[in-house]
Amino acid sequence: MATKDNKDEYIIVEQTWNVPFRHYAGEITSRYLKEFRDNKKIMGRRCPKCKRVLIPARKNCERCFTETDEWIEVNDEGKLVTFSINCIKYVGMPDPPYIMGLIRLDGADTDILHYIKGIDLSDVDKAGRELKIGTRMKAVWKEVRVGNVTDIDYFMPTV
Amino acid sequence: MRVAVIGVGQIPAETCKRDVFSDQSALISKAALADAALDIGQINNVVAGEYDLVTGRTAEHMYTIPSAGGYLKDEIRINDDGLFALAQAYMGIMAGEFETTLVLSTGISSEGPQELITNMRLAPFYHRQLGLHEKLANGMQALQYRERYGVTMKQSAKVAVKNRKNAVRNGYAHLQQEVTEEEVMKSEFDCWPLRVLERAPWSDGGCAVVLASESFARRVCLHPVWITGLGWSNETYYLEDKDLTHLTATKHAAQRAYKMAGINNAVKDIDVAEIYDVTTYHELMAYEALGFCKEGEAGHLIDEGFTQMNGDLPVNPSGGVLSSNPLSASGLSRFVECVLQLREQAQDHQIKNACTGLAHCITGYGAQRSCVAIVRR
Repeated sequence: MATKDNKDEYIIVEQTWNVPFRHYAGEITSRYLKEFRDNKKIMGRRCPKCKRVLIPARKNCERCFTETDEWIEVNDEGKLVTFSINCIKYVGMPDPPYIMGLIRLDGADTDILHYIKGIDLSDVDKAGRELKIGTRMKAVWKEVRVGNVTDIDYFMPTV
Repeated sequence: MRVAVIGVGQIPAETCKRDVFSDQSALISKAALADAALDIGQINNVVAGEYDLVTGRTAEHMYTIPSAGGYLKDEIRINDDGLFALAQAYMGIMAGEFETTLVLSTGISSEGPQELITNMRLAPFYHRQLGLHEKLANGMQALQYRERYGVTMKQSAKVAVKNRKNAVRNGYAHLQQEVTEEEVMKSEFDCWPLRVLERAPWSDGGCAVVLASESFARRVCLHPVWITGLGWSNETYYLEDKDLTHLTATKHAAQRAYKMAGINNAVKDIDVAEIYDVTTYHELMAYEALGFCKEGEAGHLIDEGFTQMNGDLPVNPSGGVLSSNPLSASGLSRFVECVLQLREQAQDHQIKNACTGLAHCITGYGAQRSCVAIVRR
């Protein structure tokens, strides 16, 4: 076993991964993202078996092992289900503090994950305590949209 | 036919080993083989449980398994915690394919930014682009659970105080300082509502287990520990599509493990439990999913001292994941600790008269996957 004394002298090799990938979004995810880009609409997919409207739109309902078969528009407003506030700077992650939340949009049976803004984060604990689960939230769309999940800039409280 | 545990080994958890991770694998393997009093020639195959990317490599087992004694042996790697590898190893022996198997988990977290690495595991179309990482998901889950059932910050702090106190008596634990409720409740916020002392650290460490068929174990081991129950389960990947206030995969895994082990009353039949307390709230949620109490009542269990070292059902006498988190090995470490308890070799953190132990693991976003193992002496 190495002696503990000389550990500070060990060589450290630093490397960074920078690997470009191209991910095909397929039929359903492409339409979902195009609706963001072209119409500022959030379109879910209904499972014929459990009848749930799923977002992000997906081709298969995992619970029922059944293909979804219908596009349903859901509101870009809904209720906050839960959230967390990132308070520490982590490598490769956005600068803190930032809020990430799950929102149940009107007409959907699953949530949407996104940033939540429009909250004063100068005192994180106060902000967290005052931002109640169930708060009404609405999507804020970007002016320039490219067919990406970030075409929604963030969600913010409606009042 | 049963499967026996005839050896366990671990290396102390710490902040940074400053070593090549595959050389740590050799140390871990040798510790388990020494405990089993076997040489590597007596091991038929190796099953590793290790995550991709954690040390900046994929398929890490191509380095770790050969150095752990898997040279020219049958081997397979599960890209998950080592407790899932143990389940795989168990099946190979039950199938009659192998007599002896080494289960290996090298847990080196220090080589890269683990928050970013958990982000990179996410689907590229949605979650990966949104600054999500596992600690944030744990924060969201903790908040929803806390609000649903009115779990208090004090109850959360009690879990941290209990586990960190236990860790002081475990020489293999990473964080070996006691903390007070006040210190927990005033520590820095990490992913609000979680504070730094309410969630696991990142650690370097690892552990290994030697499993054997009953006939082999009878020949080489005076007091084997037996695997009597195993269950594992997987729910949806989508955080958006599940009730985060329950550890659903754990509930299903436990039901399977209990059925196999003939456990009808978890509280009565289990003497010691090692739970994957990635946060204080996850320990409480696990009490409910494992059937130690009804849904929403875990806060009362911690208030009553039920899971303290001297309580009715001690949980995490080792200090748990809140004290040591060698990523990939954190679940298998729970199993190793249960075996040590049943063999009465847990030294300063020994529980009296433990005959049946439960080891639990959750992995993935919102505890997507879970494995539960029951051991008996």
